[in-house]
Amino acid sequence: MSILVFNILMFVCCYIALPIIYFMMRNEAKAKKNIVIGVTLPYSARTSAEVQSICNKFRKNLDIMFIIMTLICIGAIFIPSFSISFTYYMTWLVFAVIIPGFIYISSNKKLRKLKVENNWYSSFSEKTIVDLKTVDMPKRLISSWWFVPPVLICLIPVAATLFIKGNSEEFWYMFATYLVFALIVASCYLFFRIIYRQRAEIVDENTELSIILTRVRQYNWSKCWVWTAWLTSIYTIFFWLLIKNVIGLIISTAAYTILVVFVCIKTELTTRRIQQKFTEKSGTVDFVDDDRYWLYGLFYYNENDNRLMINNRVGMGMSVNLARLWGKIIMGFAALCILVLPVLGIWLMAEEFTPIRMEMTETQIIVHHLKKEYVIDINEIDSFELIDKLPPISKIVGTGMDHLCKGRFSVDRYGICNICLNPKNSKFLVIFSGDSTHIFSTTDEEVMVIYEKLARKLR
Amino acid sequence: MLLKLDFSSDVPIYLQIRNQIVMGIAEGKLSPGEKLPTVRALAVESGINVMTVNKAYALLKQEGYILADRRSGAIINPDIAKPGFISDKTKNDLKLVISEIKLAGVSREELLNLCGQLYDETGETR
Repeated sequence: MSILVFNILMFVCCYIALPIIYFMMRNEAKAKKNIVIGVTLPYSARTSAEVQSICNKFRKNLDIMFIIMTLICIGAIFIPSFSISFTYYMTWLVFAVIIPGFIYISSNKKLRKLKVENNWYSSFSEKTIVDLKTVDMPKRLISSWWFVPPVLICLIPVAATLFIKGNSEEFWYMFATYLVFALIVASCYLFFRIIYRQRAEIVDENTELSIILTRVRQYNWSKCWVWTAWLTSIYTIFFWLLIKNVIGLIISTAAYTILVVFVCIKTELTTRRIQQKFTEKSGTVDFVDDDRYWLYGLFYYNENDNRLMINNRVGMGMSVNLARLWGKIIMGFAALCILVLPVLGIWLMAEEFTPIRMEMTETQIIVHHLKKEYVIDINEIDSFELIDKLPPISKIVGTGMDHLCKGRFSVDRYGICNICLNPKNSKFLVIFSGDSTHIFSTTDEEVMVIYEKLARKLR
Repeated sequence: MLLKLDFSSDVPIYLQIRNQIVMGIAEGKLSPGEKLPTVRALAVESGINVMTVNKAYALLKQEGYILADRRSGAIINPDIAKPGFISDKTKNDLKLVISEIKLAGVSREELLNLCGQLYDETGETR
């Protein structure tokens, strides 16, 4: 894969996050269930000039952020290195998540201050409100049976892999991959169930309104999880059938990702639009206000709430209660996953720019690259050869870059091999030792020298 | 009917639930025979412990405001609607209060006068 194609792929994969975050955040400036930028306000306050001014500033800051981040992202398309490009995009992605968050927090703080100054509270503020009539609503709006076909479809590749078995190493990778797909579908059902365990969406004393708002969210999100399960199962079949076809895999993966993201965004926007419509005029008398449990309007922290998963106030889907131990663990893990991405890039740079070293002692051939070391006893070498052109290779596990291929690869004519080489070279040393085949290269000159030394020793 | 639970209050949560359900019945927001949420569902919805809700329901049942069984869950006692309904617990409480008043040397007539006066002060509840 050329560096330009890689950069374009990275651009598409990373950039897609920015418009999603941007539009979801911008949407927070519209009142939904009496909430504006994470602050619950009475009806009269929502249209006040001060609140509108904060909302306009919030939107303007988001617009500026969107333009600047877009330009920065486009600029990376011409970076001439895999690892530098990867590090750049990952760092960009972290900032694309963090900067809108800071803009939101800043506006949320201003709005909270305004709320305190104007005493925009109701008799429900500081209390947990439960509507007895919404507690025992009939549960499922969509049948759980919708999840049975996708789970069964996902198990086809698992069963086929078990049945065919084939090469043992490849078998375990494939088996684990298909099992992960099946688990994703099963977890869709888990989230489907959690949707119905969420607290009713109460905005005021109007029970009918609470039922409608709750049902709207339950219906749309349960439908979304059914869609996700079906899309994942179909993608699993494509993945299974196209496993040897790289282009087919890339296209099906891209199509799957786009469809899942589209379904999720559509679900959230539909839910919000309907909820916005129904709560346009609410908040005139008493209104539910649990702002005190939302740190900076983003993070839920409520020691009096046993639940771990709660409906997200910002963005899509669900969030966690940080007062629970598992909430802290999940949030910490998510933050770590995001922050570790640029660090991964630094590791990739070391991989790409560290030259491969090969040396031959009296008894061994040793190939080093970073912490990886291949040691072959000369006595155990059955045969060896020098080739001028690397046959087509496909990675099983390891690193596959423009200038470095390292790990277990499937190589045409040679089968599964341990390789550590620069595919751009024109001299490669192939060593057959017992059941293993190794292919190495450093510089063409060095490979020639080692080959000649080995030839003198063994022939 | 809305339950408003105040976690910063000195009143325990189970008592807040009990008091608000009693007030809900008195104000007509909960009708006799009306089904209440199950203990588990109410605990999940309010994010509190099942034992807390259980304690509130047990108290309401003991006082005769609700009837609860394993099969149909809890309902507001239909007998509450009957004129003159007084729960056993209230009768026992009243008996204790009357005994204390009797020991204080208050005559039957004085007690009945006092009751009439207090009854008038509470006004119409339903």
